[in-house]
Amino acid sequence: MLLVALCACSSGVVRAANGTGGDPELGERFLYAYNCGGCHVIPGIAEARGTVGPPLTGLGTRIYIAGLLPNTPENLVLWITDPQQVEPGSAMPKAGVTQQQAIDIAAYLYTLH
Amino acid sequence: MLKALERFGLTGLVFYAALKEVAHPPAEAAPPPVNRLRLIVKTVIITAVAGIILLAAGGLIFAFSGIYPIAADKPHFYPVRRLLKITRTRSVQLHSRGIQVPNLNQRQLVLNGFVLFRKNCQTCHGAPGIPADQVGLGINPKPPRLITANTDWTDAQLYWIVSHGLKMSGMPAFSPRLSDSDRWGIVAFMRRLPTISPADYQQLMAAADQGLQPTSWGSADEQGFAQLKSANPEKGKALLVDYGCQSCHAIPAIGPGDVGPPLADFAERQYIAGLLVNLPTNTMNWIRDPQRFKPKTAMPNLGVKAEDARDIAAYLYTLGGPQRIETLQHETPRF
Repeated sequence: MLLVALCACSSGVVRAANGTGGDPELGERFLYAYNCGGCHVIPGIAEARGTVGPPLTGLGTRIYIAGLLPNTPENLVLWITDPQQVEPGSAMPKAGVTQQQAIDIAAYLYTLH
Repeated sequence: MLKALERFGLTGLVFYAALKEVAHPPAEAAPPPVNRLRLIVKTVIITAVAGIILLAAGGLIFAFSGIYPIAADKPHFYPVRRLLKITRTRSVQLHSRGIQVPNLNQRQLVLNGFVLFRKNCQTCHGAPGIPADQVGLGINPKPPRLITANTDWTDAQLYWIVSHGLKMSGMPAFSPRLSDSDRWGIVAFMRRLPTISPADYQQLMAAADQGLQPTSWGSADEQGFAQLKSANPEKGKALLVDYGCQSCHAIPAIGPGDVGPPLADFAERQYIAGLLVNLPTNTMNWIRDPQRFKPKTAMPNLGVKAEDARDIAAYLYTLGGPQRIETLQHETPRF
C-alpha cells in the first residue's frame, strides 16, 4: 500500500518535472514566499486557505486556466508571471514572480490531482 | 501456647507464632501524621523546583544553541502557528473590551479611510487586484489579504489591532501617528472592502489622484439578496444537474467536472471569474450571460432563465460557511 502510494507520488513528481522542467520542491517554497495562499486554497502549502480566488485543488487535471487559456505548462507559467497581460483587470495580481520561479510553481501545481 | 508446644514440638511453636503474626500483625508504630505530610510537601516542592530548573536550563540551552529556525521564508511549525494564533486572538479579545464603536456608516469617514488604507495598509496587505509589495510578501506570518468579508474580528477588535499593532507579526501600532477618527476610518473602509471589485478600486485610486470624490463604490446588493429570499435552493440543485454544470465544475455531492474551477465553498469565495464581487446579482448575471463580462471566457451561455439563475445562485450560496454572506447582507454600510 505504502509502496503504491510512493510510486504514485514520485511518478506525479516526475510527470510534473517532465511537463515543465521545474522543481516542485522549489515551487512549494515560492508558493509560500509569494503568499499565493492568501487568495487560494493550495493543498500542501502552509497557511494556504485563501478564499479570494478559486481553490487550486486538482489543478493538475484542470482543463482551463482563468476560464481563458488551455491548461498547458506554457500558459500556466504565463498566467502566473503576468495575469494582467492575459486578462487586464483580473483580480489576480502581477506579484513579480520570475519566469524560472513560475516554472517551479507550475511543477508543484501539476502534482495536485 | 503450651498445649501447642506439647503437641507439635518446637517447630510447631515457630509455625504457630508465624501464623499468629499473619492473623494479627502487631500494630506498627504509626509515624506521626505531621511528618508524612511534611514529606509529601517536601517531595512535591523539590520535584517542582527541579522541573522548573530543568525546563529553564533546557530552554536556555535551546535558545543559546541557535538551532531554532528563525528564518521568515519558511512557515512556523504547525503547533507553534496554532499557539501563536490562539494567544493573539485571546489577547485581542481581552484587551479590546469596552471600546465604544462610533457610527462607521459615514461617507466621509470611509473615504478618508480609503486614503489612509492605501497609504498605510496596502503595502503589506494588498488591495482588490493589487498584490502586497515585496516588504509585505516577505513577512512571516503572512499579512492577511483584507479584501474578503472579515468575520474573524469585531469593529472594536479591528480598531484595537490598527491602534496597538501585534507583537512579533510585523503589524505596527498606528495609535501615536494616526488620530482616533483616522483609525476608525480605516476600520470603516475595511468593512467596505469586500464589496469593492478590482475595477472599483482602480476607479477609487484614479479619483483620489485627481482630487475628485469617487462616484463608483462597491454595491451592497440589497436587491440581489431580496431576490434570493424568494428562491428555492433545492430546485436550484436540480437545475444545476439539468443544465449540466457538473460536467465542467466539481460540485460537492453532484459531480467532479474539471474544466473550470471547483464550486466547493462558493459562498465563501470573494470573486467570480476573477472580476466580479461574489454577490447575488453578479452571480445570477454571470450564470445567465458570462460573455457580457468576459467575452472570451470558456463558460458558455446556456440560456439559463432568470428564475432558474436565481434558484441556482441560492443553492450555490448553501455551499461553504454562511458567515461571509450573512456579513455582507446585514453589516455592509449603506449611504
